[in-house]
Amino acid sequence: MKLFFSPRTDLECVAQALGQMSVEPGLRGILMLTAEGNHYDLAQLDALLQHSPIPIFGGIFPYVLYEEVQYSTGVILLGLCCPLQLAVLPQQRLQDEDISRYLPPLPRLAGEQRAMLLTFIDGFGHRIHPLIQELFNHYGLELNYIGGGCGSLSMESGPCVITPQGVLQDAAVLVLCQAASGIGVAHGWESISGAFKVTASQEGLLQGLDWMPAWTVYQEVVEQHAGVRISEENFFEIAKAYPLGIAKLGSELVIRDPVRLQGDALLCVGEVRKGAYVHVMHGGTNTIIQAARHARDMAVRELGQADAEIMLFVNCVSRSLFLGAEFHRELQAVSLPGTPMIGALTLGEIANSGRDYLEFFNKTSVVGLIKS
Amino acid sequence: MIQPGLIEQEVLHEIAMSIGESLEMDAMLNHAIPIFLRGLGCATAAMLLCGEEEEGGEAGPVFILPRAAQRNQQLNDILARYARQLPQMTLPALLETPASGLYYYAWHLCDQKSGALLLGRSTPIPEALQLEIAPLVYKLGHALKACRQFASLQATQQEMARARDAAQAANRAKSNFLATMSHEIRTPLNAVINLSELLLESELTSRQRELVEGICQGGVSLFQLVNDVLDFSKIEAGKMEIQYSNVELRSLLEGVCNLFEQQATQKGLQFGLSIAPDVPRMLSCDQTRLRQVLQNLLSNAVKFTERGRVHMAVRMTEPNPAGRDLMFQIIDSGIGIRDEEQGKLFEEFHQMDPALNRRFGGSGLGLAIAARLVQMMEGSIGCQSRYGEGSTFWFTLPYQRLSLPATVAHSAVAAQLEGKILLVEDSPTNQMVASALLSKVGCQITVVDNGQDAIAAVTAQPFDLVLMDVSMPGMDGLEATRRIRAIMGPPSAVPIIAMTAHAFAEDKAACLAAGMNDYLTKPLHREQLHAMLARWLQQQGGSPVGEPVPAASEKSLPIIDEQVLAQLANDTSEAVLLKVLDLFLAESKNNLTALEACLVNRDWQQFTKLAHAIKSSAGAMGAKALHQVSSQLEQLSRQGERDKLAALCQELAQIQAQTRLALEAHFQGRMANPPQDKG
Repeated sequence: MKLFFSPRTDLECVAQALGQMSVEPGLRGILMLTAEGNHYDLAQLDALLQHSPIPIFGGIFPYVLYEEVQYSTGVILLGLCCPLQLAVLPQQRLQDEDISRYLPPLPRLAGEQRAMLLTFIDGFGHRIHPLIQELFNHYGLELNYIGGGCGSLSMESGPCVITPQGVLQDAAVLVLCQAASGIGVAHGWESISGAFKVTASQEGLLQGLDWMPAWTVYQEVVEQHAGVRISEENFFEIAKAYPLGIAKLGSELVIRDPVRLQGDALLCVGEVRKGAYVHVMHGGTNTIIQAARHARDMAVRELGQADAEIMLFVNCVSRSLFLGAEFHRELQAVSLPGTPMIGALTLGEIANSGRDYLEFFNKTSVVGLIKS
Repeated sequence: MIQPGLIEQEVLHEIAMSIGESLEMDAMLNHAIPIFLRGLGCATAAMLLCGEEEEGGEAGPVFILPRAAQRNQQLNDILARYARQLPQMTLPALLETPASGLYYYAWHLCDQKSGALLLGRSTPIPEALQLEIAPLVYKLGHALKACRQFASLQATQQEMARARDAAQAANRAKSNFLATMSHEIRTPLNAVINLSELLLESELTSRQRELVEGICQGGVSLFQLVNDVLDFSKIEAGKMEIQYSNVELRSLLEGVCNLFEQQATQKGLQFGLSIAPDVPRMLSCDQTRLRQVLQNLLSNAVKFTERGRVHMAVRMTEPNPAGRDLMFQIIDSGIGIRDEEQGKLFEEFHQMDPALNRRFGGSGLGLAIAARLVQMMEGSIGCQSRYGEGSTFWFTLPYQRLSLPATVAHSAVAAQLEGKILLVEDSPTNQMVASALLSKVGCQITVVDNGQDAIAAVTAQPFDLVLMDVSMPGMDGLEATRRIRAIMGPPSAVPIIAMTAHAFAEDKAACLAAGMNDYLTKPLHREQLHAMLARWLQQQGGSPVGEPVPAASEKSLPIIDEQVLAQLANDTSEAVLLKVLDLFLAESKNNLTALEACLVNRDWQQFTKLAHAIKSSAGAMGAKALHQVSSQLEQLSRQGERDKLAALCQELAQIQAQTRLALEAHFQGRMANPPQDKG
């Protein structure tokens, strides 16, 4: 593996680093995590990506993480030496009824070895749920999955998925790596309400709870708990501490982050299916941070600390927004001495270590330990 | 902190509500199983079903989620190990405690024999929860059963649809075959009928006449049967079209009744027609098809009634949401119909009783055709009957009252039929029939048998009219017409009338598009042919249809006096008038023949009497020209001026023929027995 980080916002340092990496022997692909604060000239970035002799993939995120620090500018490049297969799914392919035809075949690995699928998708894209479902159906439990949603904290859609074809909008890039990995997933949010049945929804737009407008139900619970009035003006500020949790057994509830009010409906990152039961969730700082540590521990259990060459920390941006100044504690809690940490604050997270149904998470910490 | 028990209830409720969303098995499972997995925190599901025929036997996997788990060694081992045992096992149960991988649990579906659901989870499922899941899997089993029944029903329906399509295709093929064969039969049959009619007009011994009349009657009966088959085939093939026009209803009804009154009277039946006062005088309908329905029903009524009466009643129904309907009822005191037979009356090829069939004959299509025609005219049809007492067949038609111009088609009168006709026809039989019919009305005929010769003929000499067969070997009639039009100019130059065996609307359109002026359906009927000739030869002479045409005589007298006819109809009824006119025409023709004989025998006394008799009856019937010329003959004979009698006799013969045609045109084919020369 070859690692490069720079907090600079210019593309020249990227081009220079890529130039150096391209002559490194044995590199087969480069993971690129960049912060939206760079405000790259996308045409120049496209040219760089398209002319690189080594395929580059990844995304533009609100923040990147490097060694216990979150950066609003900068770029991380990770050169991978393991055999890998890459698939770019632009909008047109994502809308195909049969996405599986574009997915790379599973490599045959010796013994108990499992491949790892890195997945980066436009966090504001429209086909997240079908892609996740098809990935699970196609690869099942035979892979470790790790990835997340790219995009801007401004909540405006734009090109954000980095592929060898350029930076794409409403797209996904998948990289199947023959690298050992350990994955841990946790969020630490807890229910503060009874269950509400989802009586109306369209993908991520939650319209009705218990046959009432979703906003009315949510507002009542949150105001009672927070002791402040919540309105359209302060919605984001308050709601970041009150996500929704979809009921399930055997593990933590699946979190859905309400990011915007649309009339009487709550727009969430990720699908909220009609018929499900949801709870209003809340978390204390310590609980949330503790969950991130728990995720790291799960990953360590799976791979073993000694084997980890690098930690890929995919963490929801709203955890950082919620924790504020305390967020550095979460990064410290997750870090492993002797293992470099890279990562990004994402708009939704993708993870599975071969034991659970593959889900698209919100407000969740995903720790991946990788051995090339 | 939420209680785990509550979450369980929520998850189980969501799963329960997700089951049975679709009757398609794949769609149902694709919806419900992911909710099982996500809600219960499981990673893999496998659905095992026993075959329907072998319930209780080895269960096979029909659905595995994720699809990739089909490659999973652990799952495959479990399926191989437990597929046979599951029906005998007590479930739910943990099938395997793994060293690595998932914990697999199994539940029976509806019962032990129907199959099982296997779920794999990374952590154990508590026993209490296993029991809570059992009713959901039971519900899933019932939903699957419904899906299988639905699939089986769909398969049956598809099979039935395939069988129906095949049957319909075979039926269409049959209809096409029948239509073709019926048509092929009609052509020679028409030759038999027309030629035997012509034969009847010649000198025959009584025995010969009897035999020829037998041939003719047999031919007519057979013709009707073939027509039924052809009509029905056309209806089945969707080629029968309803063509609406304005119809004077009373005339139509009287005309139809007139056809059957004589037959009914001969059987000793009372025959009547009643039309309610509120029935509109005019309505818009397909008069040909309406007449056909009425004839079918009346024919049956007369046929199956041995004593008592046959009556047609026409009235308006009470207003309904769609407006008012016209109700036609044909009431008889005939043999009646058993209750169990009544439902099948309007089915094709249905005849009530083989014995009756042998006794009364018929194709068994009459009522089916009537029913289909009524349906096509947006009406309804039915029957009430009491066995042994009689029947009432009825049908309704929606009507529209139309405002019509004051003049209606009744003003059409006879025409001068002399003219040079080019007959283009390849069939020698048809040539013979057409030539005979044409020469009978005094036309000069030139016959060619192909399109090329037709072009040569019309360019070599002028013709007043061309009768053009459409289907001929070599150049067909359509092409020949196009070329004639190209050479000779617009359609008005020489009328070209198509003669074709293809009786569909599109054939007519093709003829007109090729430049033909009108259209005759083969086999030719003399009335239709004469009417067509009258129309186009008159137009050639500048006398359009609908205007009175002067008689052939130099006096330019009208042939008939419409006022006299209208008065007679008013005094009696049209039906009675038509019968009387029929007698008058026969009598005048006989008197004319006798008159010519007197001229040869120089029997002037008898000559004068006969001329007087003709004058007398002609005057009474409004045959104005016939009256005047016969009056002249009588007067000249009385005065001894015999040198002009022969010429005037010839003129009288011509006028008599014109009178017949004029009456036929006036009554538009409603004459009881279409006037014919009786030899």
